[in-house]
Amino acid sequence: MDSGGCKATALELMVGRKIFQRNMIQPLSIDFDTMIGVEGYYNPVRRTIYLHLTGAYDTSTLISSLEAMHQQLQDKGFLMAWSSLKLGYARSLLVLFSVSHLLLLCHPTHVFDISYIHLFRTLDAIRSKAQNCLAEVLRQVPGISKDWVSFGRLCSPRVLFIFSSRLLPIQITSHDNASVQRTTVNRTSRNSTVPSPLRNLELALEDQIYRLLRKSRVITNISANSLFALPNNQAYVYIMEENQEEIPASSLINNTLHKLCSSQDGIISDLSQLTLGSSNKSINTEGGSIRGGRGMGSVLSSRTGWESPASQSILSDTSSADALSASILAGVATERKRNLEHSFNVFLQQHIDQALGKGFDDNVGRHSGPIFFQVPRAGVWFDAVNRVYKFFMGEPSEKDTKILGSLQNLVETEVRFSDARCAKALPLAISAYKDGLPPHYTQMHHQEKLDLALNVLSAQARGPMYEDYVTQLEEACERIWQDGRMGCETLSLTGNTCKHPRHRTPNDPDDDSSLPVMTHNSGVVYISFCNCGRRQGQREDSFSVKTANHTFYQQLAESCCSRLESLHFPTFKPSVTNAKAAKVDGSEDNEMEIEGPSAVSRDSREQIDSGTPHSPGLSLVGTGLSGSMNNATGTVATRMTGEQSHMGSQVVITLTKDDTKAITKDRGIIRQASTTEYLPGMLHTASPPGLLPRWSSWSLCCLGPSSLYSHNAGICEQPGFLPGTNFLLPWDVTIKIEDRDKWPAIADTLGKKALLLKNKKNRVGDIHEFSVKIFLGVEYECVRGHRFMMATPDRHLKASPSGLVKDNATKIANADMPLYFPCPCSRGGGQLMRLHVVTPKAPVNVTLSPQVQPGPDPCPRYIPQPCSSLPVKLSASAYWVLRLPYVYVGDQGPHYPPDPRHQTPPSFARLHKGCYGISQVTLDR
Amino acid sequence: QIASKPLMMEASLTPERIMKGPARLLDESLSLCDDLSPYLLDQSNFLVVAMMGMQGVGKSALASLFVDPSVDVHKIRSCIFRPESLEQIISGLHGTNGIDIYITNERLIVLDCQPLLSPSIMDRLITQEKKFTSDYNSTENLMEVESLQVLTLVMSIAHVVVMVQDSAADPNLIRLLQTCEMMKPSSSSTPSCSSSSSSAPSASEDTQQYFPHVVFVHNRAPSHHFTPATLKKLQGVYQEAFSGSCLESESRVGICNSLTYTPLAQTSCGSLVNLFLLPDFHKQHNSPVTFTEALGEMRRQMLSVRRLPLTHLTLTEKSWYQYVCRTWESVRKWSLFVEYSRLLP
Repeated sequence: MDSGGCKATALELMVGRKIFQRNMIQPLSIDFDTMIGVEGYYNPVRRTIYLHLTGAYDTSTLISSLEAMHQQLQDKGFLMAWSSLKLGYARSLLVLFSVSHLLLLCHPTHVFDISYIHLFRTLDAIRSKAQNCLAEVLRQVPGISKDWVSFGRLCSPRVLFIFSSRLLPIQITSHDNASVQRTTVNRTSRNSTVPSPLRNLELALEDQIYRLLRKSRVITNISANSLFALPNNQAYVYIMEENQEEIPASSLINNTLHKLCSSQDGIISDLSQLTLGSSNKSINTEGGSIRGGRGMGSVLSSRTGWESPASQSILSDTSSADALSASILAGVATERKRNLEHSFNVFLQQHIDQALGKGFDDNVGRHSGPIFFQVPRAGVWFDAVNRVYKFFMGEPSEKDTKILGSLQNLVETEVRFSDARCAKALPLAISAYKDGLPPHYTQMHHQEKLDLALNVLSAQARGPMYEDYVTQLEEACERIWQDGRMGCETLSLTGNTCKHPRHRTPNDPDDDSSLPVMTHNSGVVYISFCNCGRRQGQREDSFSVKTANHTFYQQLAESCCSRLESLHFPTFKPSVTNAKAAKVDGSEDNEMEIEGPSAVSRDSREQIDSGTPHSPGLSLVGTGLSGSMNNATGTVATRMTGEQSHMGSQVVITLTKDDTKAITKDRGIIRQASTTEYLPGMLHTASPPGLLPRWSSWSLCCLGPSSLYSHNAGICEQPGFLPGTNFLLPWDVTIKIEDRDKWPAIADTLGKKALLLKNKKNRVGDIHEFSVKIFLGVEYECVRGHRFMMATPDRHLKASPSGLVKDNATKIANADMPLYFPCPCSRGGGQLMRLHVVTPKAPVNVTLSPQVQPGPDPCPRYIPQPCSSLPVKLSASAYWVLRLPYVYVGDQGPHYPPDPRHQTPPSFARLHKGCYGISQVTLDR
Repeated sequence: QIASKPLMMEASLTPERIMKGPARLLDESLSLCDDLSPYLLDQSNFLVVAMMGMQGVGKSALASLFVDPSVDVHKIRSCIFRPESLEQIISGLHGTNGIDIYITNERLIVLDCQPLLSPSIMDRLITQEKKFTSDYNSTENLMEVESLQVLTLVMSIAHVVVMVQDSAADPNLIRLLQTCEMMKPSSSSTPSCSSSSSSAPSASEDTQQYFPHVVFVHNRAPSHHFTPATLKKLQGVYQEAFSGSCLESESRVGICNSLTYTPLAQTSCGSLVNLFLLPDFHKQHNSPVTFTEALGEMRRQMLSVRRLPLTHLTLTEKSWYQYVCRTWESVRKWSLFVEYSRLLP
């Protein structure tokens, strides 16, 4: 039989009707708050009310309960869910124990479930605690007796234990079955001599249960002090036989009971069936009943109700009822005497009869207290039960919460264990977090310590409360961290965090005055070189672009390069005192560049589009460079490109007359820079036109005459170069002049020798050409203060021990150079910091138009001066050094160097090709 | 020198002694007894199956059938593990005390454990007036804790823990299992941690906890449980109950993977819960599967279950036995049980 089946069947046997609908797939209706349901059945004739409790101990209810609690099970696990189911069960049991005379406890097997012992002890503890409150509740019932109020119950109830024979071996049950088949005479004789094995088991169980309950003090000598009592001289264990359960109800009732009741048939039809749910409106429903054993339990509470004696007709009922009970008693007595049948009805009825008759006296020993036993009227009982039900099952009022709380404590052992365990582990975890905690620290450190603390907690804490304590721990640690231990965490422009606790900076608009004022400091110190590269200095990690790219160099320059000739890049010149930063929005800038106002010349727009905007008047022809030509000389240059490929390291630059025009034209449209608003960040190709930064992140200075550099000795005056890397690379450039007459400056200035030499070789048309030698150096600094040159975009420069350099500058001049390249010291990354240019003694200017893209597309390119300006011209026969920005900060924040742990393509950050150019010397300058 | 090696290996393939009947791992007072090492080999290919359950559900009978499926359970004497006799049943007594162990020639180690929460054992304790440790202040608390301890031991040392029950989905059993899971010593391989519950967080840094396969067996299941709808409901209980648990309750053994009764195959029931239904041996005429078929299928599936490593070191039979002894000692001393028992009502 399924759970639920056994106990309901027992009641139906008693009543003789199918009163309870049950089905394992479709469980009984239960209240979904408590997962408990109680059904009732009132038999006025037999003056008995049967209640049937359904709860999580029934398989079908368990199934549906667990389904309903799916979410809780997922989150908290079974122990939590089961605890709450058990709590609901215990509460309804409290109701039943308060309103019943008899309770039946059904087991689905033939073994007593000792987990009930803990439940009984719990109920007993709570019952005595709740007694006073319960008395208050009962006092309000009209017509209730004083004793009932003071004891809080009708009597010390009896609990009867029902077991199932289903699982007993056939040898035990068959013997009994067989005996049922036999004639009464046979059975009687048999049973009188040898008790059936089933009866033996019943007796053994009775003894066992008695000892267990007695030992655990669930039952005591004085029944009034106990939750319930066991009868002294009557059977309280009954083993339900399987085939008996299967017999249709009608046939079960035959025998004496049926006869006794037959006269009352008319009344039986009036039996009302009661269903009780928590929210049920009907007054006459009552709930209560008990649970069964594992998976199925049941309780039946029986009670007598006297109809109101005032009415005449009822008086007659009363008398007839008296007569009835008397006859039942008589009948039962006879039956037991004859030991006629192992019948459940007999077993139960004897207890019911006693209840309706003289009541129970289950005290043991001489010093028993007064016996209290009451059989109330049905009306009073219903009223009382409703109140008791509300008291235990409803929302607890303030003083009841204590009772409910202690009940919860006793029932939810696992949850409390888990709670206590976690509570013990929590301080350990917190101290693990606190252990060795620095005065202030970063979010990352906080997270690391929190993970450590969580490990401690998870190792020590147990059970369903764990998640709660994880939250608590997280909150506690968060509080510790936020309580004055938060690090500043501002990232420096090189990606290090500030080591100070949270603070304000001197100019911080944040008005949280509780924080100390100090400047950021990451504690990291780098070695850097000054603008010209001749002096080494230590720099603290910078948090502002100005310090990194300008101030530091200014300070070093004071003792070094400030006396050198230098070219200043355009900066903001305020015309008003309240100059302010322009609002710059990245996306808007892009639009402005593409669909910009006509103030930007068509030419310069083309230049921007072509990616090499700064070579007006000059075309630089190198391998793969033809596409970058943007001038009228395009055709010529293209032709030359063909030759170029055969010329090895030579680069041919063609100068045309058009240059001058183009230059003039460009100059005319250079937009006047704003004098009221300055560019807040660094200048790049996407910066809005017309805005200039307040200071330049770049620097260009001249070390002196070109004779400073000797290609045999390399760079001598500058410290920090790794051995063999301190050389510039020669770059031979052939310059062609289309129309000599139009280039008087060149013709005049140029050494005749050179010109003549070239002309001899090349007498084609009107074209004159000559060659110049430029020395280039692409210098990198690493964070440790090492400096090195590159020979190609992917190779360090390395001179032979004798100081011989085989490379020339073609590759570094005509290709993108990586912005970051590993230092030969292999521990640091080098960053492109300087371009060295030694200009030739020739009537041409070397021009520079560097564009640095510090990140992958669509990162803007950083430039020293606005797009629309001309490239910087370097004076001839001199040693120039262009110092690049130390950090690159865009509108979205700094661009950090690539993580050395990850492979990054060379194109990650680069100096675009097309940086170097040549233009003619303008004589009138 | 070269020749001696194969000789040693050969020697290790037969133990010093062959088991004739079950030996005792734990005696009735739950202390370690009989030295098992003569029966054990120095090889690591073995399977430990433990039978757990309440009183009288048929653990011993199933364990015997597991060792030898051809045994006749009716003849109590022929069983390796002795089931309850009729007399014991009639007197409401239990059969097995402590833990019995039997090792087959196929290196299958079967553990037959005393019943959990047994009224009969409790009764014995009461009638013998045994003094229980002052740690547990009442007999029922002692019963609860001892049940948990045995279950905890078994959950640490067995590959498969078979939870036998004869009623449908017993919530008490599920509760015991999960309480054990909650209380499991964080690392029983390091005995020091049993005493270090308060300090030394490092003691419990054990990385991976071991959890056995838990297989639920509904013994003597009524025939109407063998329908897809009912089975689905029963599986649902376990599925929901163990949804938040680490126990291996879904390791693809179960009646739904069975070849013998196709209507219950996986497609119709869907769940992977380790659940077997065994029909009542005496009333199998109206059940859709015969007892022998169901048992054979169960045995086949359990023997082929994936064996999870008990510890991070590979155990041989001999080192397994040492591990069992160590574990039991630390479980007995494990302070959480005392803590737990204080909270019992």
